[in-house]
Order: sequence, then C-alpha cells, then structure tokens
Amino acid sequence: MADAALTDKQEDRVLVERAQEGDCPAFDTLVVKYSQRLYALIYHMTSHREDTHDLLQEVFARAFRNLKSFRGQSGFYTWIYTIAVNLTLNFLKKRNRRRMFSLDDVDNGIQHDGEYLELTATSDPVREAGLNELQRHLNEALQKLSDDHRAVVTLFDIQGMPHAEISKILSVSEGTVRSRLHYAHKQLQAHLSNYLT
Amino acid sequence: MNKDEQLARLLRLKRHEKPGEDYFEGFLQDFHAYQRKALATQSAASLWWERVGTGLSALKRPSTAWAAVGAYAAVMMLIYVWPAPHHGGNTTLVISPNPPQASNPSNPSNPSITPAPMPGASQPWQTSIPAGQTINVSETPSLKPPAAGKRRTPDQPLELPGVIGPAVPPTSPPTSTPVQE
Repeated sequence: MADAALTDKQEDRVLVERAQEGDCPAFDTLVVKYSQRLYALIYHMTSHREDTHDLLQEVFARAFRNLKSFRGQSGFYTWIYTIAVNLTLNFLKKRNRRRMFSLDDVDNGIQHDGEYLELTATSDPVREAGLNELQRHLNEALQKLSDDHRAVVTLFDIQGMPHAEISKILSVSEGTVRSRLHYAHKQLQAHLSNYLT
Repeated sequence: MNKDEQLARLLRLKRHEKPGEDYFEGFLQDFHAYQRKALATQSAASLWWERVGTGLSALKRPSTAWAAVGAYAAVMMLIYVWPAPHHGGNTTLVISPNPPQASNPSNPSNPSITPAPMPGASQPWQTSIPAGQTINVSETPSLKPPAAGKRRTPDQPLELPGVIGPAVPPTSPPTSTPVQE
C-alpha cells in the first residue's frame, strides 16, 4: 500500500517535471488522473453539477498556469487539492453573498446511478426511504453545515482522507480538523435523525 | 451499529454520486477549450495576483504570509505617501506693485508686523525689479529659515541681498492703516 502510494507520487513527480518543461500531454495525463476525484470533492462541497464543472476547469487551468511555482515540497495531489478546496471555498463565499442558495438547487440526479441503487437496496433504514428523498436529505444536511465544516466532512467521510492529509490541504492543525469533524457529525446526526436508529 | 457508524455509512453513499463515464471522456476537450478562452481574456495583472495567491496558499501558514504582505505594502505606502519635509525647495517671489500695508505701530499687542526703519530709504523698500515680475528663487543660501525668535511674519518682505536695492531710511514714519481684526 505504502509502495503503491510512493510509486504514485513518483509518477506524479515525473509528469509534473515534464509538464513544467512544456510537455502538455504530460499535464493532460494528470488531468485525466485527478479529474474524477476532484470532481467528487467539488461536487460534494457545492451540490451543484454546473458549478462543479466550471470550478473543475478553473482548478486545472490555475494549476497549469502556476505549475512553474510548484517545487514539489508537497505532493502534486496535495497541491492540487489545496487549489481546489481554496477555489471552491471562495466560490461558496461569493455564492452565499450573491444570493441565499436555495436547497431546491441541490442536485437530485442520483436515482439513475445503478451502483447507488444497488448499495441503498441493502441498507435497512435506507430501503424504507425513497432514494430521491434520501439524497435530498443528505444534500440538505450537508448544505446546512458551514463551508469549512462541509469541506472537512467531504474530505474525511466521503473521500476517505486521513486527518494529517486534510490538515495539510486546509492549512490547519490536526486538532482543528478533529474538532470540526466532531461538530459537523453532531450537526449531521441532528439533521438526519430519521435515518439513524 | 451506533449513530456515528450509521452516519459514516450514509455519507459513504455519496461516493457513488458521480456523472456518467462520458462526462470524463469529454472533459479533457472541454478543459482545452476553456484554457484557450481563459488565456485570451485574462489580464496580466490578474494572472500576477493569481500567482501570488497560489504561491502563498501553498505555504504552511498562508494567513501569516498574507499578513506579512499586507504589512510590507502598508510600510511601502507610508514611505511613498507620507509628505516629505519642506526645506526651502523652489520658492516663487512675487513683487507686488502695492506693498503690503503695515499695521498700526501703536498697537503694542502686535509688534512683530511693524516694519523696521531702514536707513537711507525714502520708501519702506526699493527694488530694481519691475513691479509684477515673478522671480524663482531656488535653494538660495540666504533663504535659510530665520533663527528662533526672528521668524518672519507673512506680511514682512523677504530679505534678498543683491536683489533688493539699498534701503533708505524713511524721513517720516510710514503711514499705516489700522488692520481690521
């Protein structure tokens, strides 16, 4: 597992060095490699597909423009995640200022996802609830969290990232990460009490 | 299963919320088009700010770095905006056709504006410069600020050796009109 991560980092380093020398296909390889994970990160923070699409493009464009300043002190993965989180948090601040984001705007298109249907069919409390309703409640509960708390929940609970990695990405201490997670879990438990026995 | 585990399980369901495979197949082309458009429209200043922002956010303590940048900008602004002390510099002297009126010499409360008697002068002052002419005096050594206690009042003439002719003492004290206070 550790070897695989090391190889992954080495592979990234080679691709970044090639891209820094002007090899655009090397950067395209990084885009293809990270687009799914970054899409998920941004999507779970915004709950909006079109916003996610725009932000994802901007994240890669920004990474490409600033690639020369990347010195490899952290992994490319951490670096691009930092760009994505900061950009999304800034976007959310502007969106919250511009208008109150309606919870009707959250995405409800998951009922067509086969894998999701299969998984939810095996879950007792979930089976009783309509899929559409469950997704709406999940997204609404996440949107009720502050942007910073939602970022931590997305990175830890949905993306499965360790505390140390999250603290690097968000530039906060591990203690802050744990405290935000604890608070966010309490909030989510209150909002989703119907699904928790 | 406790509530924490149930919540974790619910949240893990969201991992499966993702767009169709065709989205990621077309994403690279969309990204290339976006990049071309962005490069054509973005200004050099916005690109510079973006580089500064990305560089600082990559640091371990971005807030400290931003504070340092702010402090540096404030100091630089103080240096450039703070008015420099005036040491003479360029002074414009206007010779007025009507000499300023002296105040009432009998007024003991304002003795500083009483013109000093000038020996050999028929008028309070004489000058070889035609009236109305403007002369520019730059860093003249004789224009050093007067010593303490001998500060010139606004209606006293500048003493310019070599420019203003030899003064002749008045035959009679200069007439003066009372100054309205």
